[in-house]
Amino acid sequence: MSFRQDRTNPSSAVSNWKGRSETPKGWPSTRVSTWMNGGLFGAAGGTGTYEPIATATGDGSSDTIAFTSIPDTYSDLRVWAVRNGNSLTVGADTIVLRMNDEGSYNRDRLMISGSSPAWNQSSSTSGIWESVSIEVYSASIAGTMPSVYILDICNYAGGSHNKPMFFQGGNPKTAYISSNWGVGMGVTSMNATASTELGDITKISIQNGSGSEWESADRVTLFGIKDS
Amino acid sequence: MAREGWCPIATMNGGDGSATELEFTGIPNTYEHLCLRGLVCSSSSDSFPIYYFMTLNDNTSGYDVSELGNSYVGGGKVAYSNLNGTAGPSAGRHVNPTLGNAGNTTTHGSLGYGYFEAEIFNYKNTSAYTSVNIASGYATQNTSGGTLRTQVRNGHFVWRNTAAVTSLQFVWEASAAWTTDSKITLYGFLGE
Repeated sequence: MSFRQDRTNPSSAVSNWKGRSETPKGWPSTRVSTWMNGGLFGAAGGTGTYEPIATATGDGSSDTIAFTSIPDTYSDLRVWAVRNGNSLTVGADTIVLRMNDEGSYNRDRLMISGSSPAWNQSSSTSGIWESVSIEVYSASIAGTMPSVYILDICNYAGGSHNKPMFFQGGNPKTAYISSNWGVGMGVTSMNATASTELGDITKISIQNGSGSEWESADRVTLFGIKDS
Repeated sequence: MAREGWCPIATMNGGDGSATELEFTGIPNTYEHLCLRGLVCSSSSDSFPIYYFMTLNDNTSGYDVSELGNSYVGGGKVAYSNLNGTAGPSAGRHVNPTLGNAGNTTTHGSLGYGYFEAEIFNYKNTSAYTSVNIASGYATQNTSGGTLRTQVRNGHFVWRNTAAVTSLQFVWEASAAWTTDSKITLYGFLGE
């Protein structure tokens, strides 16, 4: 009896997916339905796509939280940072992102931020190691509303091309009480091709730009994102 | 225990480097929502980043589009909106749902890759329109294009059609090709 491996092993079919350039309906092999017999769909089994790698809280003295020895087994990384602490007194703060203890080099950066009715944009081709950032205030000023950030780091374990990093976050009350930017999003990427900048990211450091400490109420979680 | 959360359905690469359209077909109706994550680059020879678009069920009209963005080339913040497929600021852009823009291997080399994430709601609901939320960006800047090119954006569009979405198509403007290691992953959300 013959045995069609590509009909029973979905990973085989997936790896053979290709785009189409001319045929209007694509090649039959590109159809998702081809894989259904392989059991990719359905409610049973499987694991989550967003897999928590590690969670860190502040120690009350350091301005930086770092994740080290990040495995290369995921497609992308995602960081959730929730800042509940009161370390700031008055003033804005930023979040800065550093990879593999990198020193200074050029990094492209674009972002938009806003607080009603104004909004702002910024761009840079000469960033040192600052990532996209928005202004936030401490919980002592913003009340019970934490500042929340989401950072996506793409292609972190691939060495062939650049690693876009996407940022979203904010604190609406920051905008309300200070007319400063309360919400922002942006993208950053290295703009040089040095091998150290295209190599795997194994360490991520997240620093409060003002130097204020991360507190025990602050919580940062690193996730690995899987693909199929 | 039943599986819940975002589940990877399929990952699609850019084919042999000559494909001008990538497509997911036969999308099952077993999920509540869909999500896409992409890391993409074109093989065009343009001196500036170009846009890429997504269509639902191969339909190229009937989309309401709104987006906010920032551009280095041309300078500054931009906002677009466009109802029901009427002409946009530039023909072809912002009429179809624009996912983002990115560079190309000719001009930008290994730095040409842009990122997007899109959540697709109501994709199987045949009594309501399908709605898509987009976040995307391409940071590697360019000073020679001279054309406004939003490079970080938050977008939203609605497809004015109640048909279940069973396929998604991805194309570059000017029919550019996808690089071999462009990658788009389709996820389905299980649960409420």
